[in-house]
Amino acid sequence: MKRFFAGLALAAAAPLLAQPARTPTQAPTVTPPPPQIVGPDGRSVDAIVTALYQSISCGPEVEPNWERMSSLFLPGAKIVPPKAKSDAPITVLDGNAFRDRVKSLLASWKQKGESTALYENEVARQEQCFGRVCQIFSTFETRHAPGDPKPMYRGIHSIQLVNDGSRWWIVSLAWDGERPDNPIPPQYEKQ
Amino acid sequence: MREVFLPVGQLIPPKRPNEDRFTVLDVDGFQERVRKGSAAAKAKGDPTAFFEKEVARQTDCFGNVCQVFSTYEARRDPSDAKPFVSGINSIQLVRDETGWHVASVVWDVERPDNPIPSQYAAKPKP
Repeated sequence: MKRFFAGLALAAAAPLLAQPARTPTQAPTVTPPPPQIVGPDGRSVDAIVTALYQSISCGPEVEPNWERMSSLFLPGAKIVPPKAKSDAPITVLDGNAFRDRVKSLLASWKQKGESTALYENEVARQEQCFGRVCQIFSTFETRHAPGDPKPMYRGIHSIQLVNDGSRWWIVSLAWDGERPDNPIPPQYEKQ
Repeated sequence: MREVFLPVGQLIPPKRPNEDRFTVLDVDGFQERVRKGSAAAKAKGDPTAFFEKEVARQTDCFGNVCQVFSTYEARRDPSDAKPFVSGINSIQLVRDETGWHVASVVWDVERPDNPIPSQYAAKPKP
């Protein structure tokens, strides 16, 4: 996660470091802009959830937009995918590990001769917010092509968000997939 | 508390006015923060007793994932008529063969400009 977010952290620190030391004899310098990054994707809960789906989605031979995705997560954020098998341990990933996991998934599709395009979109959302905290229950569908009549995968993301006063951040993302013994409950289906 | 959390589970307290970013803590970090806060209160002669209880809950679950919006009240003494702080915990949980585990807890507190919305407030006793 450290390296994954290094660019962001450096960029945030730069205006502070760049500020010249002022002595009484120096003419006043132009006030630098506040050392704050207000990513447009963090401007609202709706914007950041939309950006999460847009950044993971990618056409054939194109990777997801990792840079945009990393900018949505607070440094140290957790990503908890479903267990591979019912008796497997829970895996908690950082941004780098998640990227590697998606990359190997796309590579496995390619090896099987399948399309490596991935389109994920939200079909329903439950939202609970209080002050600087929000939690979202976001039902999603995944397809190889946006026009495919049936999704290849469906599930629900639990997305936890905080606002630092300037923008929203994802702090934890956990999800599960639909299975024959785990259908999406009607209240979380597309209305 | 360690038993209910994933080993890498996290807690994110509200940002203090002097902090410019959020602090992401594990259970050890949280323990240290609470101990320091308690020691500072003790040094000032402030009360350090803390009784927290849930007064309302909203739950969304699917498969091995749940998220809970849990309204809480904290008192210095369980018999105090009024809590000294109220707020809402957002609790994200995941399940494995051994049961449910907390993956992440974030919360905010009630302030004059941030009242607890009526749909999350404690239901009056009948």
